[in-house]
Amino acid sequence: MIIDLNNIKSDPFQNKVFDICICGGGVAGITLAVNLSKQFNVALLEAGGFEYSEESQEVYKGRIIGREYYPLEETRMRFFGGSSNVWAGFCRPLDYYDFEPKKYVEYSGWPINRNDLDPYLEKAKSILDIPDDKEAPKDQFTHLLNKSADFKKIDFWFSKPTNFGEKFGNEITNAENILCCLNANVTDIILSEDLSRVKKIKVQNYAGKSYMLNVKTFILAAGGIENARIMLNCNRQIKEGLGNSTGLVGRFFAEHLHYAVGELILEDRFRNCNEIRTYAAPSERFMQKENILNLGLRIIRCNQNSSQYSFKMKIKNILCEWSPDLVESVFSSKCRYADQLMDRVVRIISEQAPNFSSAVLCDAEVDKFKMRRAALDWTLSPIDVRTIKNGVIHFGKTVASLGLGRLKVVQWLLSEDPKFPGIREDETGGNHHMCTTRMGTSPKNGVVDSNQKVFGIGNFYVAGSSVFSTGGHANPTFTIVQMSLRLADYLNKYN
Amino acid sequence: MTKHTRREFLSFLFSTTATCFLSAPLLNLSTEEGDDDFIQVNGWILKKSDLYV
Ligand SMILES: Cc1cc2nc3c(=O)[nH]c(=O)nc-3n(C[C@H](O)[C@H](O)[C@H](O)COP(=O)(O)OP(=O)(O)OC[C@H]3O[C@@H](n4cnc5c(N)ncnc54)[C@H](O)[C@@H]3O)c2cc1C
Repeated sequence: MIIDLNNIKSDPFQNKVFDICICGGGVAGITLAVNLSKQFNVALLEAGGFEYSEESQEVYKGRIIGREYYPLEETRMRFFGGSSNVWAGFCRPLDYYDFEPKKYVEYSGWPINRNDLDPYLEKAKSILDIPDDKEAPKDQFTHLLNKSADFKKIDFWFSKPTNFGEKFGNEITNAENILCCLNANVTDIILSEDLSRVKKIKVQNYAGKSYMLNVKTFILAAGGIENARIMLNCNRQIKEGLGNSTGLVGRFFAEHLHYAVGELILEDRFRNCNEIRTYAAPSERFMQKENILNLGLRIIRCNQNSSQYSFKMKIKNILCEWSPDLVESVFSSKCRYADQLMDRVVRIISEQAPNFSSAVLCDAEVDKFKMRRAALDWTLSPIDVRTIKNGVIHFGKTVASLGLGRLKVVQWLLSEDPKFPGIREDETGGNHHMCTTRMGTSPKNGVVDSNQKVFGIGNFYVAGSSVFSTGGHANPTFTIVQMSLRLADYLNKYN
Repeated sequence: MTKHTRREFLSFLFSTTATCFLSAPLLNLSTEEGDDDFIQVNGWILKKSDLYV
């Protein structure tokens, strides 16, 4: 059943105790509700309505105090379906290597590994409407790349992109065991007197009317920034906020760095290679050898006319661009300028290392529910920069050595101390908000344990990419769905 | 500009005068064998043999 808390007269939660209460009707929250409702009665509390509204979205406003980033009310969506209302649908599971601890990266490694998520791969594909694998397109370019020890061809899957509100709206409306409340803002999480369990959840509608829910188990699934903001704001009983005894809530904020890093000309044998996009990533060996993080390269066709020129002609023009007079006098040929001969652009999507200083904090200014707004202090580490620089330059050498083509690296990346373009010049990030309530082996290195349970609070779980220990380079939603299915399985078994 | 021979052109490319045009030497990257085979021209990562087009 779905009700609207803005239009309800009586208290829908009176005299009820919910087995499971979920805050957030986005990708994680909806996946959990649908997969828990066979066994439990579930309250799904969603801050927005069925449609976008200013009054809900406004609550997402915050301040950027670190690296330049998108306005916080533009990088996520606060209504039923969450950011799946606007996402692009790029999907890929994390790599096995992403879960492993690396000597050269502090705080690296997850308490679980890829094998723990693999059982949920097929179901996640079906939830995300990812078509069955077709025969991989004949892509000679990236197949040849596999000959290198340093880079490999990788695949992405594409969701429709699935809008979770649209896809599961009917099922939730008809589910006897789900009470989904729209315009229901979770504004406090109240613990038992001994602080060991969540007892009640406070919800408010937009008229400011408050309700209390009694819960047996609580799951926070409000998105990668909001999960941390809510835990920090709920500080009436514990001054530093919930699950924050070691000060890690909100810390380790990670994004995927998104930049155009180069342009490529292809050798003649690839002249008729028409793939629009191909993908490559470094091998584990290469990452280890270079002490760098994971990254993905998207190689995108940019110019259909370029194939009329031979590779030799393109090289001549590269040299012409460098010194027109000189080359003209040697080759007796006019410069055409290499820009027009470009075959592909290369974009990077790269991992960010766990970084305590990179954080979602609480600002002094409050929202309409008197909750302190988010302040984002996004910070990079030297290894993030080195990953992009070394990765791209080595990719350039690899394509040249294998006789695939030649890469032109963007100038800013070649400087001694590269300064990444700002959000007005390039994408910068992927709207992927990760690691702010990271999974760890103890409160010393994480906020939740390997089952996504908050350390120290018996019935409090967190879902979404805030629980990632590290982000890899793959877009997060596929992993969010896998982990939500795993959490649902766990609660169905042990709750 | 007077006509140059191919040989003159290449010797110019590899001369010290030219190195500054060729921007920084190809960055201290990996210590992989074969780093010397590459040259960087205006951001292009070329093989030295490309200059013999
Ligand atoms: C433009 C864009 C493009 C993207 N493209 C991709 C892509 O191609 N591939 C990919 O993997 N990912 C992509 N993403 C990211 C993807 O959308 C997120 O990873 C995913 O939606 C996160 O799921 P979630 O359930 O954790 O959070 P959300 O989907 O954001 O859901 C959180 C929900 O919680 C609700 N909520 C918040 N606060 C409260 C509160 N106090 N009380 C009650 N409810 C609350 C919100 O209204 C929202 O419905 C993109 C995102 C954007 C913005």
